[in-house]
Amino acid sequence: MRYEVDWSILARPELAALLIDGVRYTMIVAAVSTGVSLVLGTALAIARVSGSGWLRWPAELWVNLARHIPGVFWVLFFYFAFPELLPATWGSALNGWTSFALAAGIVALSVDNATYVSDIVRTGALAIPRGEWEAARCCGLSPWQQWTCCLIPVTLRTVTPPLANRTIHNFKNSSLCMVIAVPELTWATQQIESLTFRGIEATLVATLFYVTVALALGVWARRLERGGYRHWRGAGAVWRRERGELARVDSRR
Amino acid sequence: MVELISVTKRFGERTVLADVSLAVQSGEVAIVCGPSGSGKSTLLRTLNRLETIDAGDIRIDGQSLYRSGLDLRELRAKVGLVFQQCHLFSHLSALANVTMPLVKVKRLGRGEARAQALALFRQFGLERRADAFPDELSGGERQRVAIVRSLALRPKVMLLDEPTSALDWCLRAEVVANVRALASRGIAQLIVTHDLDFACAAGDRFFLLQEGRLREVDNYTLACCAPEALRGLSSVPRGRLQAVAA
Ligand SMILES: Nc1ncnc2c1ncn2[C@@H]1O[C@H](COP(=O)(O)OP(=O)(O)OP(=O)(O)O)[C@@H](O)[C@H]1O
Ligand SMILES: [Mg+2]
Repeated sequence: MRYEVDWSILARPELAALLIDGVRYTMIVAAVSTGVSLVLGTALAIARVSGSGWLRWPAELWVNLARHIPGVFWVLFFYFAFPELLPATWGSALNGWTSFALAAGIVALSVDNATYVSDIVRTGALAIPRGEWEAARCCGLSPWQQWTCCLIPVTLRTVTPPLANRTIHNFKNSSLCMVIAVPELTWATQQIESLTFRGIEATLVATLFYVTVALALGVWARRLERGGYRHWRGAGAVWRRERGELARVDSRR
Repeated sequence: MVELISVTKRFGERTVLADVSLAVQSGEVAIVCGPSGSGKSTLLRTLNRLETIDAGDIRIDGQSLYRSGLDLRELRAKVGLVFQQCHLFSHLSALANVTMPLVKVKRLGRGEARAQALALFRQFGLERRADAFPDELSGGERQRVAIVRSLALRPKVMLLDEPTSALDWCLRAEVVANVRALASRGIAQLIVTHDLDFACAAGDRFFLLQEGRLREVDNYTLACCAPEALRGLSSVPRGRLQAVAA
C-alpha cells in the first residue's frame, strides 16, 4: 500500500485553521519562553558569579538540579502536579483557567531553557578580562550599574552564537507542549492526522515551517555576530546622536 | 591626603609589601619606581581597595579605608586609578567610556557629560578619536582615554600606573604638564613609572620599592641609581652613591 500525497486536504478550512492556529501558538510559546528564560537565566548567571554565598549557592544548586530533568517533565509537572501543590481553591482555579495549558507550557520551557542560558551567560561573564570588571568598580559604579552598563553588554556580545543556538533549540522545544494539548503546530498536525488519517501533508508543512524559522534565526544570529558587533557596541540612540555631533566637530577641523 | 601606615600585603606565602609607610599631601606628586614584580601595581590597588591589606592601615582624607560603614563607591569616585593596561570598556566608544561613568556616577545630564568629556578630549588631543572603539585606538590613545576617564570624575587622588609607557616624548611632555596642572589644583598623585626622565620632570618626591620595602630617595639618587635598582641588583655600588652625595 502506498501513501498518496494529497495536498488538497490542507485547503479544507477547518484543517487550515488548525495549522494557522498552530503556528500562532508555537510562536507565542517560543517567543515568550525565550524572553523569560533570557531574563531568568541572566539573573541566575549573575547570582552564580556573585561574591555573595547567599546568592551563589542556591542558584548553583538550582541549575545543577534543573539541568538534569527532561524538558517534557517540566511541561507535565507544571500542568499536572503544580496545581495539586497549591491550596485547593487556587489549584482548581488554575485548572479551570482556559489558558492554563498555554501558561504551564510557557513556564515549563522558560524554566528548562533558563538553566542553559545561565550556563552560557556565566561562561561569557567569566571570560571578560578581570581588568574590565575592575575598571567598572574603579569608576564608582554600583553593582547593578556594573552589570547593566558594562558586564552584560560585553557578555552578550561574546555569547551571541551559543545563545542563538539555544534559542533555536527552545523554539523547537515548543513542540513538547503538545503533551498537554496546547494547540501548537505539532499538536495541530497530530490532530489533523487523527481527524483525516492523513498526517503526512500537515507534518511536511510543519517541518518546513520549523526548518525555515530556525534557519532564519541562525542567519539573524550570524548577522548580529558579524555586522551587529558594531551595532551592539554603539547601542542606543544617545550614543548614535553623539557620534553625529562628533562627525561634525571632525569635519570642521 | 593619602597615608599608608605600616602596610603589609601578602599573596599566599609571598609578602609583596612589607611594612610600607608613605604619606602624600594634596598637590604633591609622589613617584614610585622599582623592579618589575616588586609590587608597585599592588601598592596602587590597595589604595582604592581593589586589594585588601593584611596589616597596617590606609587613610585617605584622614579616614581609614577599613572603617566600618565605608562607602566604596564614593571612595572609588574620589580615588582615580589609571591601570597599566588601561582596561577601557570594550563595548563603548572612547567618548562613551568617559561619559558613561559621568552620567551614572556623577548623575550629570547627557549633554553636560558630553561637553565635559569633549573638553577633556580636546585638552588631550583626542577629539578626532572620540567615536573610535578601544580596539581601534593606538596604545597611547588608549592610555590617554583611560586618564581622561579617571580625571572626568574629578578625583582628589590620582593613581597612575605607568602612564607614559605607550607615549612618545611629545605626549610625555603633555602628561608632565597635565600632572603638574593637577598638582596645582591640589590633587594628590601617586605615579608608578619606569620612565626616569618623566619621573624627574613630574615628581615632587621619589620612592624606590624593592623586595617589599619602600624607601624615599632624592631625584639624583633616582636618576643615577634607579637603573641598577630597576634591573633588580640588590645593592647600588657605593662609589656611585658617594659620587652623587659629593
Ligand atoms: N592576584 C594575585 N595573586 C597572586 N599574586 C599576585 C597577584 N597580583 C600580583 N601578584 C604578584 O605580586 C607581585 C607584584 O605584582 P605587581 O603587579 O604589583 O608588580 P609590579 O611592580 O607592578 O610589576 P610591573 O612593573 O611588571 O608592572 C608579582 O610577583 C605578582 O606575581
Ligand atoms: Mg605593574
